Amino acid sequence: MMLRTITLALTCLATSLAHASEGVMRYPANHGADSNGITTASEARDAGMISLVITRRKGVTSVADKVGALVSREWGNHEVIQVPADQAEAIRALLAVTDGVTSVEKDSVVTPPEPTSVTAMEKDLETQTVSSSSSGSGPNDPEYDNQFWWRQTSTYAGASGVEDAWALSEQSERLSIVVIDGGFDNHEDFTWKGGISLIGDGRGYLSYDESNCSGYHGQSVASIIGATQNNGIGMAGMVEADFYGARALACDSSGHMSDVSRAILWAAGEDIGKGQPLNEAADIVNLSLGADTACTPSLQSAINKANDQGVMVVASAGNNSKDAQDYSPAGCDHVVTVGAVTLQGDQTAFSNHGETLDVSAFGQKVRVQGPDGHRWMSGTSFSAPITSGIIGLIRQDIPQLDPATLHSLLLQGTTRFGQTTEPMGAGIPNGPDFQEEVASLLGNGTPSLHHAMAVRNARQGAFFDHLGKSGLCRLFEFNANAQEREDAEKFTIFEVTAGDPMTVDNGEAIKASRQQRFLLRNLQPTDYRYGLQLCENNASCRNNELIEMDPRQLAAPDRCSS
Amino acid sequence: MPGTSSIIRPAILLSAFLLAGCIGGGSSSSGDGETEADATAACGQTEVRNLLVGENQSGNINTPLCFDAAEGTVVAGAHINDAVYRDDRVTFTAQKVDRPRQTQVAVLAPDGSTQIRINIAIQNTSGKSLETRATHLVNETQSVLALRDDRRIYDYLLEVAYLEERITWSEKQALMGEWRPESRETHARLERRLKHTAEVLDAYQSGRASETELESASSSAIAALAKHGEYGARRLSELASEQNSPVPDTSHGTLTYRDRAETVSRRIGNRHYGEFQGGEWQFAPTFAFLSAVTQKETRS
Repeated sequence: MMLRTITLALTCLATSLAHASEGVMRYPANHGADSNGITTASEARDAGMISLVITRRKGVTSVADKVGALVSREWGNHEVIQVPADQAEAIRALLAVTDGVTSVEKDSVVTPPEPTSVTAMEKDLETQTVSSSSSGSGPNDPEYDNQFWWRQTSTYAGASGVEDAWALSEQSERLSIVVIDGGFDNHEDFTWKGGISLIGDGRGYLSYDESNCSGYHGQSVASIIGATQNNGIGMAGMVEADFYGARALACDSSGHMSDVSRAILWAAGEDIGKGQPLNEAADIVNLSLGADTACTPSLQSAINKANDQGVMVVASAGNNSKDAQDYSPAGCDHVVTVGAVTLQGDQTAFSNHGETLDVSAFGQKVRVQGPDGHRWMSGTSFSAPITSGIIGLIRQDIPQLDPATLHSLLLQGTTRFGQTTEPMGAGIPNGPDFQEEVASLLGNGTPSLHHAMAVRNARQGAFFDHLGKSGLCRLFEFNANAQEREDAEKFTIFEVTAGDPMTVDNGEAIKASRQQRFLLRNLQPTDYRYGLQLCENNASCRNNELIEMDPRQLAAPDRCSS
Repeated sequence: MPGTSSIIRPAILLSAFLLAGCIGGGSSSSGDGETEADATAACGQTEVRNLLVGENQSGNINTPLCFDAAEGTVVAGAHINDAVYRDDRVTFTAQKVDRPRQTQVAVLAPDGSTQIRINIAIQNTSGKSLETRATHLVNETQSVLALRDDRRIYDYLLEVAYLEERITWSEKQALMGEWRPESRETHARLERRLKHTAEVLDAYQSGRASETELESASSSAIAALAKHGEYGARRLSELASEQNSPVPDTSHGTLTYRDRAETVSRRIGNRHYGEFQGGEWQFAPTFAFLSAVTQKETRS
């Protein structure tokens, strides 16, 4: 009798497992995002649900049934299931040991970085001296005078010299730029080439409407990079390009990281099973959004694929005053992570920080398109598109550089921060300096003479500890920046009394070397100016005219005056 | 029937049970060492529940059913003991396991259909520290193969020598080019062992390898790590002595996995260089520069 019962039970168990999908009451009783009306991350959260992203081995079909779940989204070898929050950990553990599953991760809720309060922002502005005039050589758009990031760093330390870089950049290729966000608008001063909505609420990518979907974040972000230039209305964008909006944030400004991953793949030219794939991978992707979780495997995988396709991925660091490493996509690899500084180049109170930051750009009181005219906004959301725009100015001019090279040169093409208390990256991205770095790489750079610590910011403290102020404060470095010379010639630095013509005849040769870089001591930039000439000896130079070295680069670091 | 029982017993545990009929959903509360969940029975459909329990822990689910108790059956899969239905509740105990496992407990209706299926993930709690160690080794593979921290200090020593004008720029560039840990046999050996650790870790996490296998793979990688690390220590020591550098000696210690710091390092977690304060590693003042020097290099 016992055996019969056991055999029966075994048969029943085998049958029930083999046909698990037949007549199964799945939780969350029809909670699939596309089938029950739950379309946003916040709606799912309110319903006590959590989304899990499952990555399967190639060739393996859906595994949702094994845990009685419904698939809400599926692309490539990924699927997203929604599960009750109280079972999420169990389901993750079960799927982790399920054949054909390579990873299971929580689908983070994504939002634009929290904006800082207007009150706090206005208070900061009281201490910010702002001149509203530009040099007059920029675009004719009426809001242009308020776009401070276009100014030179000599005017505002937190600016990025966009006006000069814009004037120098020639468009040899029209870029395509994807902004992944929400709240895009059909704005009179912006031309969208196309887009895609990853949100299943029936709206297209241009989701803004006054009453029911009032978010405008994505349009504000996009306006910095691509508002139509020189049309006599509104703002001036930084590059003329084909802009695409990828809507991954719903009307309530929340979204799923899985949709951000899909949007990145779409920007990389992949067919994600929704909308029309792009003809080719975009040049730049801007992500002014984030989740308070470290980078997940599926997001990193999407970023890697984009990178492999030549896409530069730029992300905001976040506005939580915390280490950006714990946020995504800020903490992901192969991303240009951007923090925010003030107009004076100081660290803002709100910006995330840490070693994962690459650069920090202007992000406090940034003029952007708004739902009713233009508005001032603060946040790393607006620092990221400034950086995207600077990258665009280079990329449209010199398209052949790969993302890794551009990334590295961007870090070198920066100017110094003002006051910082935390690591904020290599510096403030600077359009002309970035162009200079690229030119240098391509073998037509401009030689420079700078303070020795100016290009050793990150380790400055250690150098001072080991070499002391006396050794470093009056130490300068010449960099030929790949400038070529004849074998017999030396790079020769001349010192000329301030006010005298910059010629070999008027100067005294203070150092000559065949090295691409060499050091000089005890320069006196207040009394003298310095110039370069290629000479076989002091009396036999190529030219009597000296190439003047920029005296601003000779400024000693702050700790030399303390 | 002793023969039959010995075959069947390890795989399933069968209990007849009493049923109280459909009287609504259960309530949940947690007790020490127990995992508990509620379920609401739905007649004619299979209810699926998912539960996470630790090894040697018991779990239970409240589930009033829709048929007479005497006619139903509880069926338990592998690694489950004492699965019973009593007082509208299925209870069971997870056995000790040597890797993460999944199994099931099902309640069958009189017609043999499954009334409720409880998917159970059993956590291998005893293997947690092994898994952490292996995960760090795997995640830091590229960094340890390249001896990245040592390399950054090596570059820093060269920068100091250049700034003191003891070497020229081109000499510095040439010396930087001489850092080639990838040319050593120890590099290839470590790479093989880290790759093997990654494979075993993946197998362990998906229930295909035991903690013994994981322990063996990562210990073997750590041994290779120490050997490979000797290259970095030697180059740092040689350079510091050749250049008579003002930078303190940083070649001391073995490159290994440091449990408390949860990282692979020669210095972090090594008391020669500092100590833990409030759970956070702090370099001693002499070595405070290492924080900045071993950071990701952002400018050259």
